Amino acid sequence: MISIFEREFKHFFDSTIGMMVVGVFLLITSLFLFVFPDSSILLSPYVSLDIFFDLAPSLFLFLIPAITMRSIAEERQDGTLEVLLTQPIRSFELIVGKLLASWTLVLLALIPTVAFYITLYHLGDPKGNIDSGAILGSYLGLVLLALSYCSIGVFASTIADNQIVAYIFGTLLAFLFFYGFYYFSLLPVVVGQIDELIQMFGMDYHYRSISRGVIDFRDVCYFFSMVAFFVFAAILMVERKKQ
Amino acid sequence: MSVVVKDLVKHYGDTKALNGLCFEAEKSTITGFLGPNGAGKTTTMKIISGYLTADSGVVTINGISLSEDPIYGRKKIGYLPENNPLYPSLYVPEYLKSMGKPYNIPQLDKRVQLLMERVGLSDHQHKKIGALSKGLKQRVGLARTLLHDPEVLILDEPTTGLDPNQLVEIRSLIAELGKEKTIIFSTHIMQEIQAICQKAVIISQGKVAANVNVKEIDIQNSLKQFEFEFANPISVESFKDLPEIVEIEFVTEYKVRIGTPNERAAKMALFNVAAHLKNPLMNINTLQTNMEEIFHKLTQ
Repeated sequence: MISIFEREFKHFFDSTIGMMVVGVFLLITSLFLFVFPDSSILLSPYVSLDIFFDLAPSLFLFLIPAITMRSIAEERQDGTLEVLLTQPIRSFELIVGKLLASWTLVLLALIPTVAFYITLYHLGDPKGNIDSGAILGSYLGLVLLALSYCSIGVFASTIADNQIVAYIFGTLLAFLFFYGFYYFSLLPVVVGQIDELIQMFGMDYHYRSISRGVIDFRDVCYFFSMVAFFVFAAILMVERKKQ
Repeated sequence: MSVVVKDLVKHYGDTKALNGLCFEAEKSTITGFLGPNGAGKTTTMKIISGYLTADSGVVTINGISLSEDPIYGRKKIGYLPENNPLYPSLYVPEYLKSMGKPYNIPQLDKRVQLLMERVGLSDHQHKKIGALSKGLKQRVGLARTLLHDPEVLILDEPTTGLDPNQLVEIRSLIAELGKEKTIIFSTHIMQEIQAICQKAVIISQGKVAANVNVKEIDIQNSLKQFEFEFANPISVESFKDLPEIVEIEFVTEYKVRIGTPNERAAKMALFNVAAHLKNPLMNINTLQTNMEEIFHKLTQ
């Protein structure tokens, strides 16, 4: 698993996709936080990172499938999957190695955003007048959300033989699981009846819950269940294509 | 370490790729795997390597079934797929180290250096794989298959697309490896089978059409065949009692086909006949080898 992780992670930087994803994420979030007047925290009377935590899931929706789309699809396209699967590596190790490499890259993109928190901490009046607990919870939510998106993306990559198809499918699945259930819950036939139950299937519901700063075991469990489900589905797909 | 393939059946949709394929590859033997395109060679090799699973049938290595213990098989087998897939952005030693890690090889760095020397890649360790020629890439692939010192090597058309010099080098490397390992080696080139293989398994339509000992074929059918074309019509009497010519057949009034165990003596005799009759020789064709004949008979 370690060899898969190392090679995958190194490839992100050999192919510049790693720098590209980290750069685009930081550029867009910085623009929204400090430059664009409608969302700039410098012009806001309140010290809050809500803009960042609202924006990040949407950005991840487009950036994470770009990281994961190649993970299995490219190996299959280039024939290297044939070599990997004839080594003493289990499909589980292959999928988890790929997943962890993609997730680590996303975490790498998140690390510099701690500077946003430090900036706000110093901008507060009095200094440090900021809800650090909620920010910590939001970061945890974002980290778990990124892991779920990565698992969806790796799964999409096992289904498609083509990277573009893997990207589109990954984005669509992630969109459905993040926003889809919320929008379904707004349908008139379910409003007032099972709308909250439907919302609970969506990642958005649990992300918002964690972002409040209260870490509920059920929310954490939801994200890990999502990851386990998509990892299992990805393993099944790899095994099925051997048949 | 022997590889036994028994009753392999594999379907791709409605197409039957393998239809009860059986053969055995013995220790320290190079087994040539022959067959027309689509006969099932690559499918068989993929199943032996563990990449594909068969619909039914068994592959055993030293008596241990691959379906029961796939990881054992993967540790014992070195597999080089047909198109030799590599990571072009990696440097040669970096690639080999990365591919060696899953095998938990002790002193991996040393092993990589040793293998690079053995396959002749020492001068190319500062190059990325993408910058290497096809022959050198083939060596990288071979080095990768040898990393964990496997007892069985499965090589799917390892010489395809190589220039004549590279062909000779890779062939001699395989022949050398065959002294200590069980090698299953597929190719389209009959001369290659005759040059380096001890056994040949010819498959057609997913079944073994023949399982032959290459050296025995050479002894039994050691005649070489040539076709001589003369400028003017020839008569049967002129070719009587020629030395070293065992078979003779008049194809047309200008052409004669001969079979001989001694190529040099037979050619000298024919040149003498041409000189004596003042009938210039226009063309000499070497006819197909015995392996080719067998292949055509069995696979058509």
